[in-house]
Amino acid sequence: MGKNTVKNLRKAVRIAWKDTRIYYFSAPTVMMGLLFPVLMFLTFWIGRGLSVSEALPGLAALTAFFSGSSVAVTTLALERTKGTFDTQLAMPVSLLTIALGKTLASFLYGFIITVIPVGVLALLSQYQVANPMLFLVSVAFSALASAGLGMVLSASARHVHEAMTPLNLIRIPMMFISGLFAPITSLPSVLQGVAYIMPLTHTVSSLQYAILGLGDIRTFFINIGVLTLYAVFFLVTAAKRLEKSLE
Amino acid sequence: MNALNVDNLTKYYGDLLAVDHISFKVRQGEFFGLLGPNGAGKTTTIRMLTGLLKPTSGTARVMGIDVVKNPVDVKAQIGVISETANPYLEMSAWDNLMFAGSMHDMPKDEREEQAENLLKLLGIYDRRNEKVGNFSKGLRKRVTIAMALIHDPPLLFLDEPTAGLDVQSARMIREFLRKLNERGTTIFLTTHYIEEADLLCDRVGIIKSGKLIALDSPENLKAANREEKIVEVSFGKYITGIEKELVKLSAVNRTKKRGDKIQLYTNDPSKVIQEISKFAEGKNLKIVSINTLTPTLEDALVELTGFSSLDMERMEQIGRLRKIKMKGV
Repeated sequence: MGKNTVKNLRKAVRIAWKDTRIYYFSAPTVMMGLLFPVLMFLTFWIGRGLSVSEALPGLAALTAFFSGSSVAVTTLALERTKGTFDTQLAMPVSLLTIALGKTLASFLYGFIITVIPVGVLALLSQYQVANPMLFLVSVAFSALASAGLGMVLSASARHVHEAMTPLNLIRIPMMFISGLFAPITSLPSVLQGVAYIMPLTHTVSSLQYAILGLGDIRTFFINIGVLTLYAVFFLVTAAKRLEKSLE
Repeated sequence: MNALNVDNLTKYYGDLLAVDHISFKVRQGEFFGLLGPNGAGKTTTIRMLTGLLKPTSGTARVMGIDVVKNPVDVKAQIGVISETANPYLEMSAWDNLMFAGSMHDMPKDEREEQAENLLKLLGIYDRRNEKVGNFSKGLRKRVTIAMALIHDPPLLFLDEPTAGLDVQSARMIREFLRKLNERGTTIFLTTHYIEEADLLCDRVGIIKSGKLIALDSPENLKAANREEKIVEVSFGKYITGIEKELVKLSAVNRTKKRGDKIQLYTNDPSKVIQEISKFAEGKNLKIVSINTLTPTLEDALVELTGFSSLDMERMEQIGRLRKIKMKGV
């Protein structure tokens, strides 16, 4: 790894740490990253007679997906409004490093917010997660891909709603065709094709394997591979869109 | 090596030509000012020179580095205080400086030493642990300046550093910048305050509609306008409409009210003085004072751009209101 790469990674971590301190408890983050997935989960869980174990993958997928993008989708727009993005831009940091730092902060938020409630629920219900290590891997890559998606949409947004509205237009329909509420096989064949290219589908599938032991390890690694590709694609696209916003 | 070499720098926003093929150089150690009204292209120019905006065409070398090809390397060599930039309000002044230093990859002890010195120099060391959100606009600007100087850059860019600040903060910042320049830091400043440019700058570039229309020292710019002289007269009290009567005097080109005084622009001051004496006698007015003045930088600016400092201030205020409205604050 080159000296410059290490230097840039160090700067990305510092940007992430700064965002962690500033935005983890901001109103849009708490609203979209914490309350929204919990409410969605309760809507999905209550009245359906599901056991805790059956509900856990759904809770984990929703939380990782929503909280993972909630910091990334708000920070850039908030910083543009407050004038602190110009402060950041004036510092000797590449746009890719800025995008990486913000994605890391968002990823970490999604990871923590997902692991804690799922862990607590599993402990309280004395449910044994099938593979705790793979569960952490799945949450990590899901939160990373989700954070990347948030970054892409906020890269040129001047106000939070400019990023939040398209994000919700993408992720809310995605929830219904990702195998979260109903198996993908029960969907019309056209939607099944669409479902397999959605990142949330791979989140749900990998979590079902890690928590419930459904499926096989090969599919699990394909899911993680797809989520990784999405994370890289989103990060590079976010940096390109940031660059475009400076033209 | 010049601190800044700008060659045919141009920026279009769609079809709008914001900066029109400007070229100039700034020497190392120079205090350079870019003066012009709101919308003239000052901010667009400074944003291109600091790597915050890509030019449509042309080149700029900052401390010998091409800003289009290597914006990150340029940013390591400069400090930037843009009009719209703010410190992080949720963090303390100290933490803001530590973060800025970490972005320059400075070792912790070096960052701390530099932060302590800067905060003491700017008079905010005692409040270093307070959140910047509690600070006034003037104090926030001081934090921004300290953040821009944390790595002791040889070249500092400032976009309207005193706009909208209280008199005390503005004076403090000007004095600080003057000392910084005396110590050897090259300073590039954009301002719409004519007096600020006149007081601080070694050379001033005047920009209008994206074009650099004049570039010289403030004294030379004033001298270029010296064919016309000013006679300033006070009759002790202001008489409504008197300037309209004075402009009818044969040797007077135009008049301007300045407080209780009237300024008469003329090519023949001695004739104007004679005419004023007759005018006062005829109107039974007592002349309290009468002086001949040399033209100011503002006169040069009016001559070159058609805008007075009052016009520029009004335009800046409208521009600021528009920016606030756009931000939805």
